[in-house]
Parts: sequence; structure tokens; C-alpha cells
Amino acid sequence: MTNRDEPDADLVDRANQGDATAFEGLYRRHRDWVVSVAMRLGADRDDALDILQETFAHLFDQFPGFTLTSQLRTYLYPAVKHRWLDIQRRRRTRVRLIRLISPPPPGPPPDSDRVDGGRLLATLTAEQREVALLRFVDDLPLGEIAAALDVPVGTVKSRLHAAIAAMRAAAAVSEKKVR
Amino acid sequence: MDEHLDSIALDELRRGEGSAAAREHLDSCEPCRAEADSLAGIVQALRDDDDQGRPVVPPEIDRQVLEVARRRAASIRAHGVIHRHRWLRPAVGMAIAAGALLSMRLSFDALPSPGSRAEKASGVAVTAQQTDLDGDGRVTILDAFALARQPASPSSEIEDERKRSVARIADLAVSVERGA
Ligand SMILES: [Zn+2]
Repeated sequence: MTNRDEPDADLVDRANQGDATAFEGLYRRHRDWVVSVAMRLGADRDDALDILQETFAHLFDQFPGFTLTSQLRTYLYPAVKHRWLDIQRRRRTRVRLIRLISPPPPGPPPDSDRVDGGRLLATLTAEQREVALLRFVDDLPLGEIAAALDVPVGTVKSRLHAAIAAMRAAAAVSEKKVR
Repeated sequence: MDEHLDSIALDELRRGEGSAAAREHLDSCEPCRAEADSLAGIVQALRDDDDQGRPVVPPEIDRQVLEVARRRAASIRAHGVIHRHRWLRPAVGMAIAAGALLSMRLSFDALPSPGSRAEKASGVAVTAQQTDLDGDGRVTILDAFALARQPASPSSEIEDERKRSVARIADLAVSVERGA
């Protein structure tokens, strides 16, 4: 049995002992997030679902003997990214203009005073977008983001700082338009 | 604290982190509170956007992933540690799996003695009788389950050997199926 409050580290311990419900717990807990990350990187639905399966097959392959040194998402993030890059490489197509690198053109202005997240993201660089999403949507601590991206914490802070400034500016513009 | 809070400090306060001094400043500073509110709006907008585009994962995908998990868990329980050929590059692993499969096919016709090519190639010491327990002509995870379900022997030696064999068959079935 798994409960929602059971830490990943405990699930990992049980999975290392061959507890199938622990594997399932890890999967159910992080499944949607893995799909989200893949799509943020630019994967379409089918690719995202392929990446989901491959990422967890890869994760399960680390058991027994898997040690969790940080949050599981810190481990999964580069794994998802690697698989997405791999799909692109396999296809040998021109690197698809992914949402993370090339933002979609701005759509029509919103008809409510609600700030549109997609439009805010469109104002960021790829690196800023990655950090902003890991921080604000995934709620990862700065140190975990640094580990996931393999960059120093100072770099994460400066990207986050720049991202907030850019999104504030964009939000202020759209608010003015609405008024 | 006289200076206004920077965005990183405001973000920490949003998460319930940050220093007492920063919290105190926020409580008493109108411009910083406005900044904090705008940051909260941005965070909410990003979350809403992230939720919107995500597809629902079909139950079929769940089933496939969980099947892999179940197999892995069963192998761990049966054997504790799985001796995989992690050091092999995929192409080499594939060749070995193909060799193992070929040897097993052959061995179903002429029951092999221990030390067949399959064993040497894959490092898995199994014979045809031990692997294809359900007699369907293939080595699958079902064979491992079939062996695991057989009545227990009073001999601990036989029991140990059986557990090892379950793990070997499961391992072999998984690697053959994955082509690695
Ligand atoms: Zn202030």
C-alpha cells in the first residue's frame, strides 16, 4: 500500500526490496509531471507518452540498488530531457521549434483581466522558462533546480530573477491593454 | 531592513521561507506587497497554463508501465539482485540476446546439456526444461511465475535453487523481450 504522504525516499526503499505497490506509487505520483515536462520541452502528445514509458522503464531499471540523493524529480527531469533530445536526434529532422526555445506567436489579447501564462512564458528565453516552470509550477527548491539542470545555484537565481522581471513587464503590459 | 525586497526574496516569502526581517518588511511595505501580489498572479497563471495542455494518460499506457514495474518487482523479490549486463553496449546486448534466443529455439528440439551457447553467451545457466515451463515454445515471464508457483520443497537447498532459477528465467525473459 502507498499513501500520498509517504516520502519518495520511502517508496524507493520499498521498491528496492521488490514491492510492486511502491513502484506503482512512484509512477502515479510523478506520471503527469513527466508528461508535462516532456510537453514543455516541445513534445507532442504521442511523443510525451512515449517519453513517459521510456522514462519509467529507465527508472525501474535502476532497481534494486537505486539511491535517492535528492528529490525524485531532480533525477527524472534530465532523464525526460535526454529522451526528448534522443527522439529528435533519431528522427534527424531539423530541431523542431519547440515551445521551450521558440515561443508561439502571441495570440489575440485576453478578454479578461486574467494573466495568460502562455503569453508570459513567450517573453522568456529557453533557460529562463525552464527555471520559471521548475520553480513556480513544480515548486522545486533552488538547490534541486540547480541539480536537475546541472548548473550552480547562483545561475538559477539570476535566471529566475530575469524571468520574473520579464514576466512582470509582460503582465503589466497586458493589464494596461485590458484597462 | 530599509531596502525593498528583490524578486528572489519575495519568492522565498511566497513559499513560506525567507528571514523574519524580510517578512517584517513585507508586512509594512506597500510597494513590496504589490510586487508580492503580482508575483502570486504570475505563479497562478503559469500553473493554470501548465494544467491546460496536458493530455490524460490512457489506461493502456498505465497498464504497460505497471506491467514493467510488476516484472521488475517480481525479479527483485525472487532474487534480490538482478545480474544485468549493464556494462554492455546495446548493440552487443542485442546480439547476445539474439544468440540466447536462437540457442533456446534449438534447444527445444534437442534438449541441451548445461553449458550451451545460450548460457555462455548470456551468463544465464538455464536449460530448456527449466525455462519453457508452460511449454508454449517461448521463454516468457509466465515461465518464471509457473516455477515460482510450484509447491515448495522441504529442502532449503532445492528452494534456494528454485528461487535463483525463477530470477534467472525472469531476467532472461525480460532481456529477450526488450532485445537488450
Ligand atoms: Zn519594500
